[in-house]
Amino acid sequence: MTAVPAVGDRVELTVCSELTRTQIVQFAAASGDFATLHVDEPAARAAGHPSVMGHGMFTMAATARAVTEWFGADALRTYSARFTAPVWPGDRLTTTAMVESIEAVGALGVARLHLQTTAAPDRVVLVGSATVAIDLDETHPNVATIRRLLAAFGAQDRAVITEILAPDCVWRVPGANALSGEHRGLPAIMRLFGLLKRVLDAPPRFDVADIAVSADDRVVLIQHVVIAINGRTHRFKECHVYRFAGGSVIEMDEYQDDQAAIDRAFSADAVAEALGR
Amino acid sequence: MLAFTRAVGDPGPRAAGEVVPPTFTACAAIQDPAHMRGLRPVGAPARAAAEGSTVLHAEQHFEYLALVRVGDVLTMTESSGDTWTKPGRDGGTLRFSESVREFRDAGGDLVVRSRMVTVIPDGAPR
Repeated sequence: MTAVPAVGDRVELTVCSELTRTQIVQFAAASGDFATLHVDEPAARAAGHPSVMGHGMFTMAATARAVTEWFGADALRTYSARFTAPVWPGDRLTTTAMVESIEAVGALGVARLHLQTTAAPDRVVLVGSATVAIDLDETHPNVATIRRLLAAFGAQDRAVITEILAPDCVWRVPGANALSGEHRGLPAIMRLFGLLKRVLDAPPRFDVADIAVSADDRVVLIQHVVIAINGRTHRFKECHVYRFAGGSVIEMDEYQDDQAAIDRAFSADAVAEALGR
Repeated sequence: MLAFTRAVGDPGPRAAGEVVPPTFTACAAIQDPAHMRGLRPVGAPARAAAEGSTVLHAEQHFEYLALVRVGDVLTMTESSGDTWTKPGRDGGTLRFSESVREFRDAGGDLVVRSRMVTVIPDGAPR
């Protein structure tokens, strides 16, 4: 996530100062693409080319840096390229990325970028597009609060968690496992988090897929959670709906994409095994 | 990951848990033990090799449905997509073909879908 861009914003980045045959060979080894066009000069010439040519996927990987250095690697949703001309040894590649449109989806926006990579001076070698998720409403206090809460979960920062959750907060965990139930009040919720901390091998990881604010200021969070328990790693898709009062979270309802899987991961037996270590 | 970031000039390397570069999954072939055994590629590159040096990579598309991080274990399936032709500039024919790859995480969820379009240019010998 980065500052909200505007349509027409652009960046320009030299993504390869001079493509060498050595770098082509290096990319062949890293990618597994040993097509003769890239690594065998006599074969490339026999096919009518002046020399070996760079891999399209090299150009696409280099071009991606203009996007990831601007918006972060985790913001990317789609990335497309057309390879419009070959890239030759000696080429210097420069990418321009420009915001073409911004579409709002709740508090989250999607920016569509136009990408063009040019071999100096003016041979266009790649024309592409990318869509990136951007936070349109970074200032919405409830979204900011939930982002702080997720960071506090990851860091297991008890002080921040107890500051954000109201004393009479209700935390509803669905399913039939050791964590399920309606946990009422901060002490009960902190006991739940304490149990979770003891059974997990490492702090959980949260990858936010989407975060939006409803008309009545509820925050709807869709995320992937990666947890490790008893040496096994599990990945869950879940949705949280947070309700607020006076800036604090007073209610959380959780929905799981695969309830049976999470019930197995946190079964009474699995939790007993984890606690018995 | 180290070899990839080095080859593309990415400031990397990436530590365990960090998000991988966007096109990294396109390098899946090197994970196939059969790939380049006896100098023979597998999958879409094998079809390209069968066509000789005339096949060009025309387009590449990625859809990211979830983040991929260093240390994740993904399973890839590859299938042939559409084929089509377009008139070339001098009246010949350009033959396009598509290869679709799906990458799933350890839980079976689709995390990345990619589509590669290759073209055999006008008048190229088969």
